[in-house]
Amino acid sequence: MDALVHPTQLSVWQRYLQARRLHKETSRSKNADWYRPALELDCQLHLFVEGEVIAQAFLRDSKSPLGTWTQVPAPTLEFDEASVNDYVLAIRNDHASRKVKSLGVVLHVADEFAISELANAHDRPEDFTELREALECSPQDVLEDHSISTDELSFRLFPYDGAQPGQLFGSAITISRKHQEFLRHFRTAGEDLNFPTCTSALSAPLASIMALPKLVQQLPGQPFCVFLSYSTFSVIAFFTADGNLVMLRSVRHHAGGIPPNVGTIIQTMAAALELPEPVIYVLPLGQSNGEAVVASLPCANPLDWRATGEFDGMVPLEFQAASDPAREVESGLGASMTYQELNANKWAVQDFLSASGEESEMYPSSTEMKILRIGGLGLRIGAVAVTILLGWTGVRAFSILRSEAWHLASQPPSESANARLAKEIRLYEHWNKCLADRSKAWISMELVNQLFPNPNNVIISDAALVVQPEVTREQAQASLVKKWTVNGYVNKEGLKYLTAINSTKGMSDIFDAVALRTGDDSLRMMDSSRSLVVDLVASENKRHKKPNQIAKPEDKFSYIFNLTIQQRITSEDPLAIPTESAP
Amino acid sequence: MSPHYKDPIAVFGLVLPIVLVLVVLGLGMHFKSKFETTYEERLAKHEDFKRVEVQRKALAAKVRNQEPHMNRWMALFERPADANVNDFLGEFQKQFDPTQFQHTGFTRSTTATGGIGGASAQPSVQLELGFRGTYRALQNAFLELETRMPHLQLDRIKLSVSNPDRRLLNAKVTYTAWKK
Repeated sequence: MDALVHPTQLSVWQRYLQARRLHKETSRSKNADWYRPALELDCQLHLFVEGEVIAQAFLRDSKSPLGTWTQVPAPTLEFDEASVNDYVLAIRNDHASRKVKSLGVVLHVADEFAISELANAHDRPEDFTELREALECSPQDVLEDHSISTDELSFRLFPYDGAQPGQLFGSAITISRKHQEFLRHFRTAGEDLNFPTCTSALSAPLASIMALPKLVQQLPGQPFCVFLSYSTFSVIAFFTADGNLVMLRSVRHHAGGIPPNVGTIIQTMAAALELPEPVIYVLPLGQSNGEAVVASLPCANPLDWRATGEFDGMVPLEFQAASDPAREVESGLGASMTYQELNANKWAVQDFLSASGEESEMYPSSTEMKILRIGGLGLRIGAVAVTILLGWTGVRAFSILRSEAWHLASQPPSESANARLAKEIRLYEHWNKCLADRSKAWISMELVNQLFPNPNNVIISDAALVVQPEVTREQAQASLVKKWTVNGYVNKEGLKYLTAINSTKGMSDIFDAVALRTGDDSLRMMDSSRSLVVDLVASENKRHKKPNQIAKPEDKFSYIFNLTIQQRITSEDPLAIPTESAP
Repeated sequence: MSPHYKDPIAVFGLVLPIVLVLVVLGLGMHFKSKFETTYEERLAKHEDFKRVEVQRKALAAKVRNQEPHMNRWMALFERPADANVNDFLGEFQKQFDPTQFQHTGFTRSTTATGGIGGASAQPSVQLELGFRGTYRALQNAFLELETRMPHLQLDRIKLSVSNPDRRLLNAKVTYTAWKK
């Protein structure tokens, strides 16, 4: 990946492009290990620096089939970027498990230890947060010595929970920045290999203090101190009878090793801290000569951490104390307020050589990388959605543009042509109604003829039909009444026949028979819109004569009759008369 | 971590893509909806057009079927009804002996105050005709007259026995004749 440019030198858009480049070309947005502390990663490379060399190197890989701790070749502090790059590659490929996705490099600094006094160290603050940050960023503001150089030294707060009012509430643990560049090479190698490599520089004595609850499991019931001895210096930790830390003090070794009057020094310090006759524990660490250390303090109790069975004797105590949270204990010394605080705030495993502000500002935060990833994912989903929408719309548009409806829609419906045709049809229907066979002379003659099937029984003197319309307002059709009147003479048989047909039923049968015979619908009586009334009046023929006296044909008939037939056709009938003129 | 990336990433990495996608989707949906609406309108018009066309074809077919009748009916109105009736009766009389069929009278009233024509706003005239003849000749005459001229509607008819020749009937007939 090309070199990054510090974002302050870039425009807003260029910063976004650089962040995009990191998102695309590195695994920062996918692998959260880039942003986790080295001690929280699954695979940790612990390096022990003592005597200006890396004395021990162990790999702790929780996923490695070889076990929790594996000794690996140690790098040298003189490694340049390329060498560190090769070293990290070798560790990843040759020693770590295949699934390792990050590396935490933990440097345990055991070749120097200094304590700087805080200004106003007797006024214990309620909250250490501000003091902790100030000590990391601008230590000259909070230290007794204002002339210190932050370019060369690194300071971290270490509180004393067992301090009484008037005593120091904490000190600034100080180590030099001489290994800063060495750790930066590891971070750079991680960037080059796109392999999260996080670093942390711990003070080895502070890390070993975390192991004391396992070594001093039973509190001695009186104040005590622990003498932590390394090859070039020793650290004395003073505790109250309750197991709370009162103070740390360092003793520099001279050419001959531990100063011969170290016992006097301890007694003097204890007296100053009002811890009379403290029990002294001696803990040789690193490359220090354990026998010489014990010999220099003959009345002390030696602590052999390898013999306790709590730790792996092949792995430096500091490595195990710093990395394995299972070392926390809840009883004895571990239950004291000091250790509860140490566990809660990780005072003993603070990173003394964290990346500089300028280096950290080069990269977006974890949240920002997630935003980039989510934004990119959202953009891809959006692009897919847009593509689907466009594709779907395209297919739909293609189908629509090919449809007949799209091209022929400009043609106006031929309503006017239909109206003209409908008018013609209405005209036809009008004339069809006007010209309907509602009353015909020849039909009427046929009806009268069919009324008297036997001409020997009757003589008709006259017959008439009158058609009378009945107009009602606001009706499109007028009903009509057809009235037949027949007068004549009949004999007894003829009268009997007339009496028989003198009913609606009898006359309807004759009408239907004539309609069937002539094909004329006006006489059909099956519709409810038609009705029939028949009236027969018969009387004696006063001119009736005996057969030998007959002068005229009607003289031989005994009766005269008057037959009236009235057929009513309502306005709902198809033969009703249209009252309107042609459209 | 760096405070310098917060705004660029938030703006260009999150807000802008979301806005861009929403705008493109919104515009796409808008134009698609507009296009669909236009199509729906055109489709509705086309459906109307097709429906009207179907109706038109049905109406045209009906008109075609009715056309011969209409032509025949309209031809009846080209000459006055009384002229047509007189022409017909003149021809019809030639088929019979005067002792069998005679056209005895004719009256034409210009307005139809009674009868079928009086009930309608359709213009009409009334014709009164008188005949003498045998039953069969009269019925044939009426049958032929009313078949040829369906615009004649019978208002009244009166039949009576003729004197002195009782074989004959007197017929007095009143027709409504529709006018165009």
